[in-house]
Amino acid sequence: MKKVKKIKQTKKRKNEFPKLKEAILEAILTSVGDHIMAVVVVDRNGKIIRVNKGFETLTDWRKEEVIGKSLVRVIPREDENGKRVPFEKRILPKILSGKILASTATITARGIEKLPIFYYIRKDKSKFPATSVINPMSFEGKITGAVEVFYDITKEKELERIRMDFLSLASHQLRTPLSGIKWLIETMYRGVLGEMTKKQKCYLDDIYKINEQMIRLVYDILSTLRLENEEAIIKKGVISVSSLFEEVLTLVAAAAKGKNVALQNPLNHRMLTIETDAEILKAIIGCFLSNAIDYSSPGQKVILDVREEPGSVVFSVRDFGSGIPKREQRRMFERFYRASNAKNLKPTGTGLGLNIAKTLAEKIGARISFKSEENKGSTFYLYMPRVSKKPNKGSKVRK
Amino acid sequence: MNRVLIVEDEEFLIRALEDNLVADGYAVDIAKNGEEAVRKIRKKKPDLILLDILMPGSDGFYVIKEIKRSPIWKSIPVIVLSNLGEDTAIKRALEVGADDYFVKSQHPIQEVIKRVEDYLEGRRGTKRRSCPCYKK
Repeated sequence: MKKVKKIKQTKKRKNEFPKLKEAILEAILTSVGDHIMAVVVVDRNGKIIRVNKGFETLTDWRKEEVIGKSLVRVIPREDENGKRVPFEKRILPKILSGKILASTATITARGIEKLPIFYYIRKDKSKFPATSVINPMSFEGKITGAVEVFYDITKEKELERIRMDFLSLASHQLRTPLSGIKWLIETMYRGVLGEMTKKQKCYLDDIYKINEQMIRLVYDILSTLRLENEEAIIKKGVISVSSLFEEVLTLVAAAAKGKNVALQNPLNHRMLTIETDAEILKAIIGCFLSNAIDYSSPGQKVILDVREEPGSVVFSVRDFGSGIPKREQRRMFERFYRASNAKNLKPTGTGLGLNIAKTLAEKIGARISFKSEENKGSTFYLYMPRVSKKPNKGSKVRK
Repeated sequence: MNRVLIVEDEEFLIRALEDNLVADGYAVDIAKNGEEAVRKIRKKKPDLILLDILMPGSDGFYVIKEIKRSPIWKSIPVIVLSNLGEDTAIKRALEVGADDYFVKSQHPIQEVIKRVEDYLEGRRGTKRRSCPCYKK
């Protein structure tokens, strides 16, 4: 009797197992799916086989209305500019056909802002900003379907807008008094209010310097915050390296002359062109050059050069100045960090220049590194991925 | 004598600009907001306008639009002096018809005065152009 009872119990458990599995799955889907996260499962043809509550809330579609329907048709997608993404260009069909292994998006330490952002269209044709991760389901080596998880990022977008508005206002409000001090002192320097004594001028010089330092600090802090917000839009174009050098050397010529530092440019690779954002590239090389000048002694030289490596173009700025103490080198790209010897040589530095340069480099897919020896000098490198060697016919070369 | 209209709400910036312009022999008019600027232009047409953007009441964008839509005023060069440094603000000002754009804290006042002189002595066309002067 006991044996029969045990068999019955085992059978019952076996029958209940799929139901239990189902209940667990349902519980998982429900618990991950609050009002901002949708989970949708499709079969290998892209037809919806399961959705969670979050999907229903976000898209306005009810479960019964969408089961068995094509996901890409149920929720059309628009890109950031409001342009409809054609079905065949969507990631899901590519994953289901095995063309790509998973959606390229990964959640990084900086959160979902790094994921590509797009808009999904609801049942009532309204839309919301979203970002998604899609992964295939495989069984015995074959793709049997996929799971897409997408998030409503309306709140993040709104916060970003508020932050940008605040930044804009803060930058305006901080700059106004600083520009007032600057212009009033410059007017006094001009002598329109009468001549000043030597001592008065000396005091005014100090106030002017402090004010310039503040202006620079405000500028750098705001640049950093803006970059964090990824406000800067990359404007790619084909640019000639020789004209780029010409422009960037002109920008720092006055500072070099003032310090009696010779700027050298070996003029190699005159014909070299590169496809990138000219303004960003100029800002990075300009930062390297300004630092090289600041940390050189009068009479020394600074060399701006470029060379080609397989797959990349390497820009370099070399100086023979103070160098960076070895123990401090790993901290050079930290925000506000300044090497101990740099503080003595240039008390007005903000410690933000290299941090900004590094962020800018990342934006254009480039990389920064340096070699340095204390009291012998430093060389900063920018490794740019190379797209084109010579301008193609018809492509515009920015001069 | 060339007449320059300063449209600015901050007293200390008005003073700095006025002292420099008067020292260089210009006649100066002052307006502290957009409406006052349009009234002053109507009363006496200036040869050039130095224009702030963020002001109480109507802002600088309003003034540019008013100037550029009038056949009599549209040839008056408008140099924007603002501390709004975002590309969007600069682009918008140039699109509505400003001739130049300076981010005040990034430029010495002499650079602004020199630009006034360039416009008024015809060394610089009054056609709209993209402005590199907002760059650091």
